[in-house]
Amino acid sequence: MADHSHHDPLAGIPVTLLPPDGHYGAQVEPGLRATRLVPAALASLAARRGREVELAEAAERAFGVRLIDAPRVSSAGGLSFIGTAPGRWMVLSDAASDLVIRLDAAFGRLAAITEQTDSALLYALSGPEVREVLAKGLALDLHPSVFAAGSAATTVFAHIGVTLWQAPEASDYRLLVARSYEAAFLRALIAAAAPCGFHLDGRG
Amino acid sequence: MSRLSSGGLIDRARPLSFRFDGKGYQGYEGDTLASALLANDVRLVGRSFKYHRPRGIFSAGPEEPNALVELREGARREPNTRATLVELFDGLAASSQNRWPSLALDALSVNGLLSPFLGAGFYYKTFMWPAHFWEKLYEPVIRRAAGLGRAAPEEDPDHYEKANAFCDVLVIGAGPAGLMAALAAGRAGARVILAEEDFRVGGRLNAEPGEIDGAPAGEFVAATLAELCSLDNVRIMTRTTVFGVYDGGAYGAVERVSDHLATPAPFQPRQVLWRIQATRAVLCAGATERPIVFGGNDRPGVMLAGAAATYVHRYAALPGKRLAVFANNDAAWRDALAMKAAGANVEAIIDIRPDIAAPLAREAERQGVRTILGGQVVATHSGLLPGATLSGLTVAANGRTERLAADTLAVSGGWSPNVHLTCHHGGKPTWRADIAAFVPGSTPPGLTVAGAAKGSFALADILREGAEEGATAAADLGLATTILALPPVADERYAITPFWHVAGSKGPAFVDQQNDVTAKDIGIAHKEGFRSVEHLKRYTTLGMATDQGRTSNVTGLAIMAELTGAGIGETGTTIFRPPYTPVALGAFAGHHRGQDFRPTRLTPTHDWAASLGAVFIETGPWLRAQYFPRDGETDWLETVNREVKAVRASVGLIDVSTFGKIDLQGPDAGAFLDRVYINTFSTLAIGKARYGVMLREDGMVMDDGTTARLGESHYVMTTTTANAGKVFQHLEFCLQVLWPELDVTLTSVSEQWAQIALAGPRSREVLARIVDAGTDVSNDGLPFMGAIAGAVMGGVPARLFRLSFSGELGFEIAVPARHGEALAKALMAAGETFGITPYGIEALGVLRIEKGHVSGNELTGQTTAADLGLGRMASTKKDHIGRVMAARPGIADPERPSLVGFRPVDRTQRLRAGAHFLTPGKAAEVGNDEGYMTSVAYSPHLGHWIGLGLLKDGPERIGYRVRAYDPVRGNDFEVEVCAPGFIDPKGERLRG
Repeated sequence: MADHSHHDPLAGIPVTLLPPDGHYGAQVEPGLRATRLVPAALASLAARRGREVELAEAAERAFGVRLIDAPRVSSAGGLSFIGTAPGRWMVLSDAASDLVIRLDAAFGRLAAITEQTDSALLYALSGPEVREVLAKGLALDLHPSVFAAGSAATTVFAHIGVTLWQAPEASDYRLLVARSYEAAFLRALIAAAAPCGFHLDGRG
Repeated sequence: MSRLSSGGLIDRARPLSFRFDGKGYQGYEGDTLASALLANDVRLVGRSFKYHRPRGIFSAGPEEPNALVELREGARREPNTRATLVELFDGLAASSQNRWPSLALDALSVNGLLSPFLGAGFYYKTFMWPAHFWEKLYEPVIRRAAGLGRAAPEEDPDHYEKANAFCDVLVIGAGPAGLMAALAAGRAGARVILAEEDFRVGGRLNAEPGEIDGAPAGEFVAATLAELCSLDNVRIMTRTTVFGVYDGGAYGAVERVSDHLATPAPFQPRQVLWRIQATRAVLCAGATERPIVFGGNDRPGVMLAGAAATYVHRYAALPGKRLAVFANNDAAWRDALAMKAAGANVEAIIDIRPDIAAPLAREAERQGVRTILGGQVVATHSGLLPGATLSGLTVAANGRTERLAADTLAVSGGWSPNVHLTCHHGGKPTWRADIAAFVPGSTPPGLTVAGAAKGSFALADILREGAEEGATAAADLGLATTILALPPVADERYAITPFWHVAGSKGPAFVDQQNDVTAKDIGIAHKEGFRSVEHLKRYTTLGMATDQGRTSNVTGLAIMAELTGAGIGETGTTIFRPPYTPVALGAFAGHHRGQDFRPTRLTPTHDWAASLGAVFIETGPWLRAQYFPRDGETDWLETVNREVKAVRASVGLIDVSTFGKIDLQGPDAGAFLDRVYINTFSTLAIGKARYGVMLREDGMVMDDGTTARLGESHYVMTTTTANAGKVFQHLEFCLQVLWPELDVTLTSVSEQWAQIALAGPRSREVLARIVDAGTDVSNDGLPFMGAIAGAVMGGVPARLFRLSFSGELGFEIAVPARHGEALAKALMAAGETFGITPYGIEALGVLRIEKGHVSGNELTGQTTAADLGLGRMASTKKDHIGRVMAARPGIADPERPSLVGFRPVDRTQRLRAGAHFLTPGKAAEVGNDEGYMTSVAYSPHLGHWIGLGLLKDGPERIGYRVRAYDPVRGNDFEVEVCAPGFIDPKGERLRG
């Protein structure tokens, strides 16, 4: 066996294990920090055929949010609506409120609402090298002139489906990854960030 | 040592030690392996591919055909590495290749003596018969003789990365044109990437002593680089080769991050494969010098004139002690005279032209360099020792021949623009007679060309074109640009008289040195009719080596053009395809190798199953528990038999979260399902589930699974694990393209729900212990094919389905995924008194085969619903996808092989999936084939092997025998045809 332990940030971590919290890669101030946030509640929202305008009006009325039918994120009152496809949003709630019930009450027959709280994990990504690291898995131009605060994308990172956005008021990136892919995603992220140093926390 | 005492872009304060073929040498930072070898008077560096002729360093760049070495040792050993591109590092170890026992004394050089017989087409003509010799004798021998270096047998210890970059303007090449282009676009504010293959920017300016704006060219390079570095919008990527132009402005590039180091720094990648997305690109890739072909032109010591000049100026390394130059153009004269001025002993310039521009002739005379005009090199000489290098030349001029002493012959047949990338979208280069070279034809969208790559060889033109193309690219993006001031440079004239081959020269005259293709081989190809350039290439292997014919293609086709009498432009070039230069496969793989070849998906109960000692198996991207061995069990079958028996006798559980789960909402959901399934779902009662089969448009079965109705306009569908993505895609296609009028939305809920199947006569009792009050799982509360919402484990919302794949009383319980592991543990605790047994997908397979259910082995994409015994499910009252095509005569043929069960006549025989069925007494021939065994299992219930398979007229033949013929594993015995349900055919257990 070749000796690559001193270069391999994943040495000793099997694909079946969620990589533990801690520092990975170059022993420097981390160029990337990833923090696992527990999404309080998550639901998908899809406009019924031809009801997009009414849905936007209802969103404004119920939540004071301007729903944008585009790969953008709009937030209000602890709810973020992330555009994932034409007429579709992922709704993220800061509070562990009964999100599906609130959305049902607001939108009724204007939309299909589906509980997704357990479907995905949420990560906050920050650090001076965050764009350089994400470029290793994401075929997306994250230059601020192109992907600014409020931008969102549903795409793939290293062959793993993700939804990524930059919150309007935050400089970090937020990313949702499917539960079954979490370990594989973290492996790809660790490999990509190892050259600049990587810190993972929040997995508890 | 042949190192000049001063000059060159090397750092004499940083000496570096290295080894070549085990011997120690010293070079400097800034050297390449090739320049350091020359500075140490090492001139023999390799043996040629076919004839094992001694070879030296021929070029100073990526075009190198000869100086290929094995770089590094052990697991990092890299064969066929071009010494001209290897940046020297301390401790570098390289060895020559394709020689045995040593470089100087090589046994297979006997091939050179056989060369009259080994010419073009030798292999095609010689190894034709007897045909059976090919596999046993010819191929192994040829394979052993072929190839140059040896690949490392160990796993590559380094890490490779892939990355994406985006820019407005990609400038390819950082020579004078590229620097100006990047500066013009950068000053305009464009996001610029300047990619340079070399580790130093400057291109040809590094190899010539010329002046720009009254100062050494190096100062211009340094000042321009400094300004580019100061611009935030410009990214300079050295050691980066752009190797391909792809669709929509995508460019492939490889960055050699750590190739110039003994080992990569900790956690640094060896190389990065870049996908650069550029709105515009400017190709400033320069030009490559080509040789003149003459007898003995491959002797170590013969090299390109521009390369010799590069070694002198850039590396302060003299390629030899006595130099002669053989050329047909003015650039070579300037190189010769500049080398002489720098201290090289240039003794003679031999030019095929009878006249030469007066200033050049005067300068040669002033420097005391002898000139032989109208002359040709007709032979080269060396000492008699094996592996000896050049010692002299025979020159013919004005009707006389004479012998000159020289250890280095610098050759130039002119320069060929590096048009490669312009051809990646099918552009054909066009011939320019005035410079005797191909220049870019049509270019890929968004890409323009400047400088020598466009055929402009005068420095003033190169600088101007670079500035103009850079500014134009920025202007195309809508940016305001200013015209760059062009620095004044000396006036240069490039005159050339096309000349390719010294016809009357002595000894083999090599056109393609790497593949040992001679001028004579081109003559053979011509005689035998392989005259088109593409035939010439394949018949002679001209240009098919790792150097892709950079120094040989144009010369080869020019010689062919002379033979056919067609012009060179008419003869044309072969097609240039990506990659421009060899790229390591490791770079294409990046992170995705070994365990990370593809992302692994883990089930919600993975850790729980692992804690019970489960053996896992890949099913698509998932890892699923295959079986759960216990202490004392000696093989998997023993374990699986125990698991199957436990389910049939009591109760077992398995994670089925990997099934695709699709949520359908909307008033038209029922109508939609009626169109995608062969059977009807709009009439399904709320709270009930139904097994459904869906077809592809061509009438073949696409997938099966159960769909439950949760509300008036709310269904949830399950798909097989394998087809989860495909089915979702298919349904989206149907909604978006076929029936956009239907008001239905699809949402994947595969990740949201963990789902566990509980099966066996005790399953209801176990389930009853974990459901909350108010969730009724009795036969009345949850009858067969029922689907209800409820709660389990004290408030965890759950969906409960009464379904069975095993044929036993069975349930599937879905909970939010975070509770999946807790659910498994709760069921285990609740079932402890019944000996509840976790089972894996092996036991699942046995259970379904015993029950006669079809699965992936039968859903091959080549089976119809009727083939699988599911034809009667199809509703005749409605249309559905695949209905029309399934009625095609051949597809609806009742004789098609269809599903039945099998058991061996001799019950001790083991059945094998893949065995083909024959009527007993019929010969084992394809024409007699009547179908094949799709699934087999050992049935612990029956105590023998059972199988499912597709048999012609299957249902008609129940009770008869057929022959199961399996030549792969050497089995051939009779089996009985039976109904495809081996257990509880009336279905009493699952309704219990």
